[in-house]
Amino acid sequence: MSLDNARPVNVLLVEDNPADVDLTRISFAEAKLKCHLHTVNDGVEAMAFLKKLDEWADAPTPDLILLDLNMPRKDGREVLAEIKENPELRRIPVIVLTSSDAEQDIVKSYDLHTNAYIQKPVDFEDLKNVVRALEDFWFTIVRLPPKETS
Amino acid sequence: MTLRSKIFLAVIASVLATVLFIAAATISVNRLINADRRSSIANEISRAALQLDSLAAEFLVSKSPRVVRQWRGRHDSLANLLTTAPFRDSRLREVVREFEERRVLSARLFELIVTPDDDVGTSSLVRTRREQLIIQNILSTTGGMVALADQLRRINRAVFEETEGPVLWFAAGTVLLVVLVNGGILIGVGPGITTAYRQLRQTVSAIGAGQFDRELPVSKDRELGALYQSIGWMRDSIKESRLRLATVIGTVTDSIVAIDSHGRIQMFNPAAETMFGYTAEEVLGKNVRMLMPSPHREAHDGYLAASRKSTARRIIGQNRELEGIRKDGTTFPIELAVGETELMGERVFVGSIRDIGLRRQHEEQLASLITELTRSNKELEQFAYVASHDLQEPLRMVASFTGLLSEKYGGQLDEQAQGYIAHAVDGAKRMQMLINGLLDYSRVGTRGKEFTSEDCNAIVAEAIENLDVLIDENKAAVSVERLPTISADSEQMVRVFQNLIANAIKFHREGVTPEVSVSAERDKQLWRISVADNGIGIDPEYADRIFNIFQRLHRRGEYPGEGIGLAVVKRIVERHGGKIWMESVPGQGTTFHFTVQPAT
Repeated sequence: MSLDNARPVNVLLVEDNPADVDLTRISFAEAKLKCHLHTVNDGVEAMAFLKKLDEWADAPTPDLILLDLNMPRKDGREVLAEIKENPELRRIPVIVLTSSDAEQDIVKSYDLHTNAYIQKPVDFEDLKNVVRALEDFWFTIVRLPPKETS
Repeated sequence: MTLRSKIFLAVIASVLATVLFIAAATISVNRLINADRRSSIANEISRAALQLDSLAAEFLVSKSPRVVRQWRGRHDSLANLLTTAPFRDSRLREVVREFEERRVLSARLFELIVTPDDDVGTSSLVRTRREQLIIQNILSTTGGMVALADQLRRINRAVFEETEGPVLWFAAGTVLLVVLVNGGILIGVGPGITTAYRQLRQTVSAIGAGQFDRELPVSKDRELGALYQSIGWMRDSIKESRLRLATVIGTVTDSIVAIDSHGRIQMFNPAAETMFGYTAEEVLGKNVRMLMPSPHREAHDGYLAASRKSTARRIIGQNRELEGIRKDGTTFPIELAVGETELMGERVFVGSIRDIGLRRQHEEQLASLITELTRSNKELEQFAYVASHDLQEPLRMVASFTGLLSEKYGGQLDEQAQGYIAHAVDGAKRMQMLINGLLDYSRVGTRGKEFTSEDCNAIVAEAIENLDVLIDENKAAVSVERLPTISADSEQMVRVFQNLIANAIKFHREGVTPEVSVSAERDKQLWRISVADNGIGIDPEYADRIFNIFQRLHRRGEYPGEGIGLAVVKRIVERHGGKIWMESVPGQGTTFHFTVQPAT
């Protein structure tokens, strides 16, 4: 599945820090990624989005989830656990994208079956490279499960 | 002459004298018996002579054949008596011989008169005259015999008296001899022995009572002298062991309290005086209960009663933790060990008591320190987490947005503004490195693994492999001698070598090929490992400062780095129970030494 195919790619960014949301948005734009970046501000919203509840009734099922760990209300670990326990959602690749390089966070995330763990780089240039690499890897190299056609 | 030979001599003399005395007495008794027999034989002879005499007279009147028979029988028994009589004295034998002659004569005469005269022509007158003559002869003969028998008795008595005297004298002499010899020995030896015995008894009981300074009596006698000398040695030995015991009991820091089977205190050493606040005089003879607060006091009575019933001697329990009570009524925790022994038939319990108040206090302090340490470790971990997560985020914001600013609006800014932005980015990046360094440093303690036996050669090889690029870039030569097996957290030890070798290469002299050598040497119980280089060296003035965290000796830009490496190395070495130091000649090179435990 390539991006050149007509179907748009949806990425869900779960991030409570608006500055970080901005940064990620800009880096996606700078990297000229042709995908829809949806954002929610915490874990509760993330689960509502994924389950198409309330205002997200029309939201698409994302092809990739970028998940921050430390968030108010419901944090990234809980979201990760819920997604991976849910047969409907667990095929969606989840990438933990966080400031933390704490060993316990890394180990815990993989224990909860994250598909990758990325520490946000300090430098904006580096961030752009990470985003490009993400796109390259997940949407070009990797074969994802087929979308449910229903 | 020794006492032994004196006594030996006395005994020999006594035995000899006794033997002689017994011999004399035996001889004497024998003689008495013999004399008695002789005298009864003499009496018999005398009686026989008298009978013969009267039988002869009777025959004259009666002419009875009965008298003839009696005469002949008497005669025969007399003859028999004379031949068997044990007369050995010459005078007696002379008398007996005479007597025998007369007996034979009288017998012959008697036969003449008894036998009838066959001469028919002889007138009866003549015959009667002849008979009368013969009878007279017979009577005179028998009368002589009676006289001789009397003589025999007399002589026999005389003979007995003559021989009895010397025997009695001899017996008396031997008795006297025994008395003299033994008396002499007693006089010669006795007083000396009794005096010596008395002195000995006094001396020994004085020593027994503890008068160890008492002088021993002096004796010229060799044996007594030796005895006194032995007692002297015994006294010295008792004195020494008592002194030693007293010193031990007096200087031990543990209290020693001995009690009898009724609980009465028999001994109370100086440590006990200090511990309980009583003097020994105050407690000796009193019940040991006074040193125990309730309920130990009541329990102790029970123990004593139980142990009085059982005969088995034993060490009563291991060390037990109880409570003691001082004179002022305050109680304190003690550790008590009790041993049991028997002294002069009395059971004695010896308690060794240790005041464990201080130990308790230390234990409590230790426990609270451990709690405190655990809490502080938790806090440190919390801090580490905060540092590795929450502090990073704002930093990233600063760096990212200044980067973004520079990228997006760089064209609208002048060179100075661009410079400011670069400084901001640089500062944020360095801040992040510092935080990471700090985390590294703290993780030495919180993320350390247990020590295992590790081959130091493999550890260094791994460190060198990690430094591959650096070594290549600087064309450095790293030589490694044979290294020992050590007890270490291998991951951390790799960091030690990696940091030291990296430093050695980093601070090389311009135009000089960096050479690093790693070696090990035994240093008492430890291994001393050295990493030497030929670099720029370090001024000895900074020998200690270089191990401080964030300490740099060079301006930023000269050499990269945040001053974390050596601080981490030091922390790791110290966690391994070692020490690190360095020697350096500026301009020539530096050697870092550190010690590490050998593999167990």
